[in-house]
Amino acid sequence: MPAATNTKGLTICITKGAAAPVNLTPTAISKARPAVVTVADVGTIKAGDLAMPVGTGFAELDGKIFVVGTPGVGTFPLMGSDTTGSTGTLGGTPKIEVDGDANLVCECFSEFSINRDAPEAIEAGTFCDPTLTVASAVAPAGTFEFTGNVNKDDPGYAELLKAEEDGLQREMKVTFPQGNGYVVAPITVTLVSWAFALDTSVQFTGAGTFNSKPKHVYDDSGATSLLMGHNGGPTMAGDQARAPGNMPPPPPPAAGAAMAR
Amino acid sequence: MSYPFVRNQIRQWAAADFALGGVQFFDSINRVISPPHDSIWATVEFDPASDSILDFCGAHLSTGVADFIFAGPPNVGDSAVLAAADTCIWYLMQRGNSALTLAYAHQPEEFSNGTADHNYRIYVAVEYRFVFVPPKPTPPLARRDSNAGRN
Repeated sequence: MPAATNTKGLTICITKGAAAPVNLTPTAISKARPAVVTVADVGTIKAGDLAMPVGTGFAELDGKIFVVGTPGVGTFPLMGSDTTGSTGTLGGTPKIEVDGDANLVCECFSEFSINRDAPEAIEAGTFCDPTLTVASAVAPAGTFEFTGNVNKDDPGYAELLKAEEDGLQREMKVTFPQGNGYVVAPITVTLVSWAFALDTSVQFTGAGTFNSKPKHVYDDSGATSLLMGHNGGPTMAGDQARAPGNMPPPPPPAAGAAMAR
Repeated sequence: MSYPFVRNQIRQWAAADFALGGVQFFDSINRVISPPHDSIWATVEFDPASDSILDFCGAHLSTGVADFIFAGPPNVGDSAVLAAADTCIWYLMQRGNSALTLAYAHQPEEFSNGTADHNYRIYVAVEYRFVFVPPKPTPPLARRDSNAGRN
């Protein structure tokens, strides 16, 4: 196994502001790592789709972004989740919002960087010790910056402009090559600007904020679990034990299929 | 060597634009040509310079130079060839599209060391920038298994 992988094949995609996710109603969610969701019908969802549980009663899941693992018959794992020690029970109106490829647009960035700072110290000075500080346990979610080449016909570029304009939250999925998983996070694009120098491409630059900290999720499953039903009791079913490295291939970029851009 | 798209596009542009400057363009690469001995003519050769990846969607940037060689009759000085080259290159530099940009032209240089042999020649190097996504190659013909049918 190589120690490093090239970025060739890496994709950076965000959800479209106007996209409506597919809503699935879970009938059970396992207490496991990863959590496995049972639904009446998985429909068209597939491995690699983004999933956000809402109202499930699991604090470890609600409002957070996960990646769908390989779906089974009526079940799918939430890659990156861990409900092993959860005390949650399935809520009354739970749903899983799923964004598939059709709801995503991939960005043709030439550079993308994530900026995260260490937790700041909280000043807690007293008359006895005016310099006293307490280390914060909470790190800021962070920000990101990006650069790319202007192409008005690129749907990814157009979506960035929309994102800055509407200020709506979008979900970001960075797919690492060679099955190294995904970095997912809710984001807001706060700035798009432009840069030009002689005899170079006309570039756009920009920045945004993570609305919660970005998370690297990947297939590390293999555990079995109990499924928790609506009544909180155990049900029958186990997680899909998936072979490590058996990740789906990353989706092709939405833009750049033409010979010349 | 440059990509076929670059070579073919630049040759096509040159053939059309150099005619506006009164210069006949010949594609002389691996061809036997019969240029005129009593008027100015031109040809081109290509020198690649660099290749790089532009973005995470797989766009490439290839840069290089198209060397335009202008030849004229001997023993008449350099003014006519230089003027023709200026005109032709000016027309050519108006060209460009989203994939292929002619960035700038270098100043003319002697190509025949200033001597008066059967042709007097200068050349003008034109810098090009080619942005593209490598197309999916045409699948090769199915290869027959050399052991097929053998025991």
